[in-house]
Amino acid sequence: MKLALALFVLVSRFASAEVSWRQNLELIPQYRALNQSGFIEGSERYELYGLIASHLEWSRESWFFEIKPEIRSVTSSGVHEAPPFNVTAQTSRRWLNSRRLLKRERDFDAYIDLNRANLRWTAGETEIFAGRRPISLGMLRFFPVWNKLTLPLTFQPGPEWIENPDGFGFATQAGTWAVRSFALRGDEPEDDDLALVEVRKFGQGYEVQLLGGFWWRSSAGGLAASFDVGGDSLRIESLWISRFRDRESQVQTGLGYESALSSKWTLVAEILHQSAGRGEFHNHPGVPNRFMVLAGKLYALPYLTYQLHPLWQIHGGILAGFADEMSYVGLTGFDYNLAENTTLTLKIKTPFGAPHGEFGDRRIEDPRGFHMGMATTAFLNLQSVF
Amino acid sequence: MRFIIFVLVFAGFFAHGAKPKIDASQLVQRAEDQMLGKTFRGRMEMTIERPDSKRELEILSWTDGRKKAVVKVVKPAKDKGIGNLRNELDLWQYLPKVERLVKIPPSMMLQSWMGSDFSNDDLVKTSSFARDYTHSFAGFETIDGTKTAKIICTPKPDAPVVWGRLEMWIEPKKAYVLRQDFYSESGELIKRMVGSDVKKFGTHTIPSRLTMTTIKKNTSTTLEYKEAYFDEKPRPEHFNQNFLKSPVVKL
Repeated sequence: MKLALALFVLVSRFASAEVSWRQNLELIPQYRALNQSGFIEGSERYELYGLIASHLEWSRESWFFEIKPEIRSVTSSGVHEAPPFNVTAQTSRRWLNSRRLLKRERDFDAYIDLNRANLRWTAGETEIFAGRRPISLGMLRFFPVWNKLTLPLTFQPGPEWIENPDGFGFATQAGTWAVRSFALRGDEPEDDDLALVEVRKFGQGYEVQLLGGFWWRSSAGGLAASFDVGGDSLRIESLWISRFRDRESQVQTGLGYESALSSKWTLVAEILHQSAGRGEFHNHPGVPNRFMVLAGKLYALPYLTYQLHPLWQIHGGILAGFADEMSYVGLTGFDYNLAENTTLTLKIKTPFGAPHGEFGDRRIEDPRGFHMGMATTAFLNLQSVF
Repeated sequence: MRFIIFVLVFAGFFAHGAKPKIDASQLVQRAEDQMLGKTFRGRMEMTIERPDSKRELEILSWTDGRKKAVVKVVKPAKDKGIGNLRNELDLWQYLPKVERLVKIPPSMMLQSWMGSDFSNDDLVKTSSFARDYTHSFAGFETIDGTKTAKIICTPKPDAPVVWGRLEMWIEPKKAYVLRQDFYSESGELIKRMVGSDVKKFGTHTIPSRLTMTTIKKNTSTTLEYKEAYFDEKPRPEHFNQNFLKSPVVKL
C-alpha cells in the first residue's frame, strides 16, 4: 500500500514534467596479447564488448528523476574470461541487485542492469537525492585516492565503464563553503556501506576539501587541495583508513600537477604513495582490492595530451611502478570526433620493464616453467549518443 | 566681407580636417558593458566549421558582472550537461558522465573550448578588455558600411591576459564591436572575430553573430545569440557548483 502510494505521488508529480531521452551505443573491440605460458590455453584473446543504454530524464520545478537501463555484452574468442560487468572502477556491491543475466553461452555473456535511477530535489543552492548515481570525490585526474567509486581507471585493461553506487545524501553551498554528505548502502550491510561528509572551501586560486566518515568497515579521513601556482595547478589528495581485523591502518597520498604547456599541449603528472602497498612483486600476485586498485607502494604517471586538430586529440603517458624491480605500462591512444554524436577512442596499454616487476611479463613463475605477466591490450571504442 | 568669408572657409576647413575626440578607454568600457551588461543570460548556437566537417552546439550562458560566469551545453546529446563555472579567476569544468567537477589551471584559458575557435577565456571572459589593457585611438574605418573607431589595446603589465595586442573596431555611437583582431606576443595575427547581424536585445545593441576565425588554419566558429537578456536582477544561485552540476538546463 505504501509503495503504491509512493508510486502514485511520484507519477502525479512528474505527470506534466519535461522529459528528455537519450540513447547510448558503444561498440568496443579489444585485443589482448597474453604474457603467459602454460597456465591457460593460447596467447591471444579477442573480445567484443557492446553497450546499449537509454537515458530518460524527467524534471518539474524543483524535482528531477532519471533512469538509465543498459545492456552490456561481451563476446570472447576461445575461453570466456571477461564478463561485461568487469568494470574498471571497483565499487561497492550495491544495495539493489538490478543485474539480470539475459544470455550466457560458452563465449558470450549479456546482462541488463540499471546504470542510474535517482530522484533529486533542488532548492536554491541545496540538493537532496536518493537512488543510484555517480559519486565523484577528490581532485586527482588518474589515481583514485579519494575517488574509489567512479573514477575510470585509465591503466586497467578493458572498457572504462563505471558502476554507480546506491545511496542518499545532500549537498549545499553557502558563499565559498560547500558541504556534501551521503550514505551509500551496499549489498552486505557494513561490508559495503559508506557514509561520508565532504566540506569544501574555495578561495582565490585555491580549493581545499576535507573528508571524513565510515568507509567499508573502516573509519576514514582525508585532506585534498588544489592551488594555482604560476598558471598551473598543484593538487594533493590524502586519505587515512583505520585498521579493521587483519587489515592494518593505512595512508594513501597522491600529488598532482597540471599545466597547459601551450594552446595544444597539456601535461598532467601524478604520484601515488600507498603505505599498505607492496614493495616487491616477484612471484607474488599482489591482488588489488577496493581500497587499493594498484597493489604497489609507489607510482608515477606523467601524461601528455595534444590537440592535433579540433576533432583529434592524441594522448600518451607512462605508469611507472617503483617496486623492487621497476616496471611500466605505456598508455597511448587518441580521441576522434567522428560525427556530431559519435566519438572514436583508441587505447593501447603496453607493459614493459623488468620481467619480474609488477607489470613485467614473468611476474609469476612456477617450478614447471610456467609464467604469467600483464597482458598488452588495445581497444577501440565507438560511442554514439543520440 | 572678404575677411569674414576667409575666416569661415578657414574655420570650416579645420573643423572638417580635425580628428574628432574619441576617449578610447571609455569606448572600450562602453563596448564591454554593451556586450556583457550588468548581468546576462542567453541561449546561443555555436557552429564549428572545418574543411571536412561541421558541428553544432547549443549552449546556455549566465554572467554576473565581470566576476562570475556559467556556461552549459544543451546539445548535442553527447555533450549535454558539460559546463564551466568561473568565479573571478578560478575556473571549474563539470563532466556529467561521472558527475565530476575539476578545477582547471589558469594556463588552460587559451585552449580551445569544446574544439571550437573560441578559447575558454573567450567563453567565460576571465580577462577584461577595458580593465586589463591600455587603449589608443587609431582613426576611423568603415566596416560593411558602418563607421567604426579603431582602438589598439596593449596589455597592462602583470595583467592576467593571453594576448600580446588587440585591435578592436567599435561603432562609436552605440558601442558595439564589429571586428576584433587578436595578436600573439610576437605580433602575429592569430584570430579574428567579426560581428554581424546587429540586433537590439532589450536596451543592448549587439552583433547577434560572432564569427571567430583562426587565421593560420582558416577554420571558423560562429556563435549566434538566439535569446539574450541583460541587466536583470542578479541570481547568485546560478553561480555555484550545485547549479553547474544540475541536470536541469533551463535558461
